[in-house]
Amino acid sequence: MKVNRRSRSTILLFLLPALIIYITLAVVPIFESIGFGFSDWNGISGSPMTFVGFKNFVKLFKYPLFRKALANGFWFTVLNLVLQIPLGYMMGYLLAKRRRGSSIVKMICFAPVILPMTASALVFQMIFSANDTGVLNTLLMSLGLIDGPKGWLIQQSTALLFVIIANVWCGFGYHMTISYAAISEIPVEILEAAELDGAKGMRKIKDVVLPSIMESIKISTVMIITGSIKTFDIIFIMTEGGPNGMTQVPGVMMYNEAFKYNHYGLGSAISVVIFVLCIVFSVLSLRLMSGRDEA
Amino acid sequence: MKRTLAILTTVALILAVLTLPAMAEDHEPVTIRLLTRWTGSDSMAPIFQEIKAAFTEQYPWITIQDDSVNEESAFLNLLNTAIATGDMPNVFVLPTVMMGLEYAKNGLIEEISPLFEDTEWYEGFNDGIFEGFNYSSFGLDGYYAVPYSIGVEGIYYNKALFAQAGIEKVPETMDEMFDAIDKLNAIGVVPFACGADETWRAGHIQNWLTYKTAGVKHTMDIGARTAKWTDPEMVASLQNYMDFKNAGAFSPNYEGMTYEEEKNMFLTGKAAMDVNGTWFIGDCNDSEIAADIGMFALPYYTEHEEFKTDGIVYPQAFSLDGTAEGAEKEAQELFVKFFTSAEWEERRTKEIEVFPVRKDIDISDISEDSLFYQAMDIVNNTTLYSGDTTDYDPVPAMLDMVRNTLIGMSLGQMTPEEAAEAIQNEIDLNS
Repeated sequence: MKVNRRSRSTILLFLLPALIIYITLAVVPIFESIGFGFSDWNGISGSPMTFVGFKNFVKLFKYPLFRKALANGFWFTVLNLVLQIPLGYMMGYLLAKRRRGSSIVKMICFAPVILPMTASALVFQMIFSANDTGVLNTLLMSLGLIDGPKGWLIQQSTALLFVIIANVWCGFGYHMTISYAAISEIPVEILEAAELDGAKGMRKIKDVVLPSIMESIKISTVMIITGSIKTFDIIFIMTEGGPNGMTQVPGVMMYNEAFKYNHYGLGSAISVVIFVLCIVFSVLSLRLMSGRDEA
Repeated sequence: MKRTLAILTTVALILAVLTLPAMAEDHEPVTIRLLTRWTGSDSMAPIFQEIKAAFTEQYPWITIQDDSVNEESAFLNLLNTAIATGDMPNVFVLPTVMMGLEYAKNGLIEEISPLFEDTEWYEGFNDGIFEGFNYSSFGLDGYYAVPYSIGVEGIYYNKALFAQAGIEKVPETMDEMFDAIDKLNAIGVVPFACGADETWRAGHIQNWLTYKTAGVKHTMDIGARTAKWTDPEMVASLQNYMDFKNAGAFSPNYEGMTYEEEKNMFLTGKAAMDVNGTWFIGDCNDSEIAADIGMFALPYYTEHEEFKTDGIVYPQAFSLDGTAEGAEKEAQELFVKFFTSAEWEERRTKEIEVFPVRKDIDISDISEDSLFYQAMDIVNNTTLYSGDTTDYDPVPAMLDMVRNTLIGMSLGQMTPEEAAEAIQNEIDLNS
């Protein structure tokens, strides 16, 4: 379809308000944040901001807590990937296969996605509470599986894992919906032809279903990676990154440095690192999956 | 005669009704924003509401917008955002005196000495009370806060549980304290309630053990960078915290317990002691075990008798928006003077037993065996005091750093030596 100059101007005119809002609220703050990352400012209105080059980034990588935050961020991303995608896609596949009662199951699984993260995080905080009134502790003690209350969110071996469990619960419904839509779009003829050719069960999933929904898997992967690298809300509410940095991730550390300790330069440097990590890992994962596609 | 009197009364009433709006009309309507932690279950919350209502009645052209939040980190977030954007609340409470210095240097806090011209108001304060808010020794002339109270820290205890455990007198030394902990554990009572999920709770216990091991002066020296956290005295204070915990002072998983749970534990008689400030008196007086609650001074180590009278006292004061001008400035000053007036200071002291900073109030009807007077004894026997161990530290992250490290150490992530090094490392990275 040919678009003449006049209609192009009309399109641009209609796009302009949205473009102005997007540039003002999304693009400008990104560049401003990058600028802050190379500056030193104590967070006090009216005090001068000085350019310090790469000082903030050098300082950041010397920080033991930042290295810990990066490591936690890595595990948070990996575990969310390996738990949310199989769980979400498996549910999506089962729902697409068995239509009866699927609406109720879909609603139940999708409900955590529409719930405010603050509410979900507070509920999980109560479930995993360290005292004997915590839901999980009460349940396990009544079943005789533990002797006394356990500090699920305060022990090194469990703190991060239990925050991840809460996050998986909050997020897998979204990927279930994506996979359900993608699987429903696979033509029935293809699935029947595969079955006639002897592809059943796991083989059908591996050779027919998965290749057909690869684009959806890519979308889910990129969303989980970027969402996990920049995660903030669930950790901030459940543990604030504690105790003593056990569940610290770059997003929470960025907030603390900028808004709690008035290290705006350092906080912005962390945001730049998060931005770069999101881009690098998204591109890498897409490349890896495209390579597998072509093979 | 009756008729004349009736006419006069009617005229007076009409005049009064007509004058009030006229008074308000003389003034430009103005809104002031307040930021404190006096909301929710805070014992100051009800009287704070009363004060605000009385103020707006007296000054009808001033509207109050109260942005107060009780939770410490939410409060600090609001405050820091206001400071970063310059959109300051008109009247706010800074957690430490040192915190205000940089803000004052940048003109964000009002220099309040012109208020001293109102001699009736000013001369009613305790002598020298304003000196704690004088930044002259830090290169900034003037006074930058109006005190409304002081918070004295001590140990609240349950007399019935002490008697049940066979503890005949309150512990004065740490040896006696450890003995009391053993006796309480023997009868299955948690010695200390502590909700360290909110790290300031463990932080206050660490303040006590540090001041009695290394002295208040040592923490001031760390702030001045003439001493370090890795000094043997400070490492010993962290070791003392671990010894205290390992002696069974707290309930299991106290690191995951909230302050509300801590208060509930003590006020329902499930724990025998609670390290807390005078702001806790209101909660104690309102509890069902009020008659059983007493308060005593923080015990000291006999090997450090020189720190026996070092203690924890938090000066509590209002800071005013330094950017406000004209009617807004006048309104914020009026509110602070109203809040700290003798009338309201007396009511606060009598009703919730907060510590007054004025001498022109009558508190003779407060019972001599009240928690108020027990706390008064503590402060009268304190010769050198500070709030938190990081109150004199210019690095804003130190308060959090020390408390987080303390929890990490308590959870067995590091030894006291490693904890001291981690804290000192934060100072070195920021110096």
